Amino acid sequence: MVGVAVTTGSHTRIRASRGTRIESWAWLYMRLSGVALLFLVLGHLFVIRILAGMNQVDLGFVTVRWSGLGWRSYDLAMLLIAMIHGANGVRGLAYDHLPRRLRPWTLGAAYTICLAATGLGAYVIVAFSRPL
Amino acid sequence: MIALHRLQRDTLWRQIAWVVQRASGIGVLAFLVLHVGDTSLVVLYPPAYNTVVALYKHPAFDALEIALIGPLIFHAFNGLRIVIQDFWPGWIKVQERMLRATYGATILLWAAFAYFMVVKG
Repeated sequence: MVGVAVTTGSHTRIRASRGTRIESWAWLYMRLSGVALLFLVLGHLFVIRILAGMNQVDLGFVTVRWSGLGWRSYDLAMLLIAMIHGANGVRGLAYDHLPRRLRPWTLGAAYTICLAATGLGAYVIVAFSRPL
Repeated sequence: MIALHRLQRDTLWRQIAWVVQRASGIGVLAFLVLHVGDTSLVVLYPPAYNTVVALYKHPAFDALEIALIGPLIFHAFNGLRIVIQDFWPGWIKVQERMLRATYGATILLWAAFAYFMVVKG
């Protein structure tokens, strides 16, 4: 059901159902996070692959990069925003392209992988501690 | 007024964009999970990190990474096109140009990244 008619006095309006409202927020999230990720991810790639270059990347590079809160916050924000964006994207694909009976299994597996990777990634970003 | 054959050609490229947006989304998410995995070594098992990253520096991996970054760049620009069309319906007047700009910007940035990935590892 998309919505229900709500009558208050002489005024009637259509109130969207809970599912519809959640889909609206999901739709908005994909667009706002998408624009944020455009800058975050392309910025990340620009700094690592063009400014620094992969040849410089090693444990020492990570130690310098994560010595302050700045890049740690950047990476943590990027990870969280991207994982929610990705998980919701998979949900959309499952609803559009998978037969109904495969949906719970596929989405269960996808959400588990995303949640585990998010947890591991967040832990690594926060817990990393090496002297410069 | 645009000619019918031009409209049909743009429709084909718009459909291609729709498919590529979905396929590349899955690919980017898979790579993100992999990338969390390799980076987690800096905490879970630091001695292995440099070894794994050295793998990324191998020329064969460079080719693979260049192949992967194109769909990512496309996903970003095509997503921006979708956002513009959703929030500013008036831009429908320039939708053909936006579609071409999406492919054009992707190719330009892809070439730039490929160049630097070859030169700087």
